[in-house]
Amino acid sequence: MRPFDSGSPPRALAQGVRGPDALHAVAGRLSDASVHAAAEATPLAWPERLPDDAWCMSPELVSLHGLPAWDVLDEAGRRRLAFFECVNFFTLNIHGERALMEGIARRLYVKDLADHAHYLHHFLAEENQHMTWFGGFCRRYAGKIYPDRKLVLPREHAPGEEDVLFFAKVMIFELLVDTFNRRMAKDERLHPLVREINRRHHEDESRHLAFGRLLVEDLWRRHAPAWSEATRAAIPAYLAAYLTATWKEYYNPDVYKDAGVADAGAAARLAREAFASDVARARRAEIETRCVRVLRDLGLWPSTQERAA
Amino acid sequence: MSTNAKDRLRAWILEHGRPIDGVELTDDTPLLEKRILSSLQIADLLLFLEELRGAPVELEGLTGASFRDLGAMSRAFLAEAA
Repeated sequence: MRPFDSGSPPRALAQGVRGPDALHAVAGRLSDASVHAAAEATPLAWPERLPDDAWCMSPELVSLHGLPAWDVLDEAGRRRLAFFECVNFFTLNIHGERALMEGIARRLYVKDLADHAHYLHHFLAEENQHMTWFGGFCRRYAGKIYPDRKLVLPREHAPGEEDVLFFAKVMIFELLVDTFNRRMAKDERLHPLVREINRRHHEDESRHLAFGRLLVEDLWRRHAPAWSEATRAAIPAYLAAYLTATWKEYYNPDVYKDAGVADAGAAARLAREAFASDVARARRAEIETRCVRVLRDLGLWPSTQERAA
Repeated sequence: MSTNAKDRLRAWILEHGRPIDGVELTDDTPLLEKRILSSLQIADLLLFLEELRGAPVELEGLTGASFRDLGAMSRAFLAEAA
């Protein structure tokens, strides 16, 4: 099945239909597509073990690529690092999708979203399946997933603000992941299983992104006018900070330790230095282009404020 | 507890947190309650704490209480440096 083009506005928007009607029309089409995709699905083929010389992450997407810590590694060391980076990438998906499922489940049939409950059930089912792929890979071949480094602290919100932030953060997380998925699905250097997991995830996520983008726009238009100017103005800066915080999780000291790139005492410093490097900064700017464009189109990207470093 | 590690942690909070006067930041200034630090900074802060400790932080079961103030963070994460 051809994935939806999640980088462009869904067709209903392009045709000038906006707001709840567009969302309802798109949710209906996406539900049909999800039913079709589920009917066509076949189980993943899990090899007993991955060959030692398999690439599991595109080298150019490895967090240390182009940095001195990468340059000193031989080919085997780079592949080993790429394997643990893949485990971290899949781990981030597990933690992200778990939070997403919790949030969606809590919002099933609430007033704002009741009309879309039929699609949210597909959304939940697909996220659950994704977690079995990511968890299956990490447990089989690495024997673990990495712990979640996020901590969500409760705070007060204006009416509707928590929903806007929740779905906007989901969209940011998924847009970033989807760029990795699309590139790795096409990368013929990668092990076929890794490519297939990335391909399948991209296919489902393209539907989630098409829905999420419309939903964020609808919630923002519906709730933001009632908020104080200070609350409205804080949202783009917060989302930019969330994007930066999400990126930081791609620089995981546990990965560097497991790959033998740094010992326990030096791994955290390497993560911080790698994140701050010009090479990594340029790579992130290129990868997040689509995410920033979508946020800017929605009016949810800071226009004057500088992003947190 | 290493005074140096605690001083560096204090300096990190003043550099990365919501701008406040240094004299306002005592051992029991509530960092989360006063929004001097936000949940989006915790992952970054954890990296810095791991660097200060020279060892990973046990993440399972971690709650906001460990980040409540400078004193709580020092006791939770830097006590081994004593």
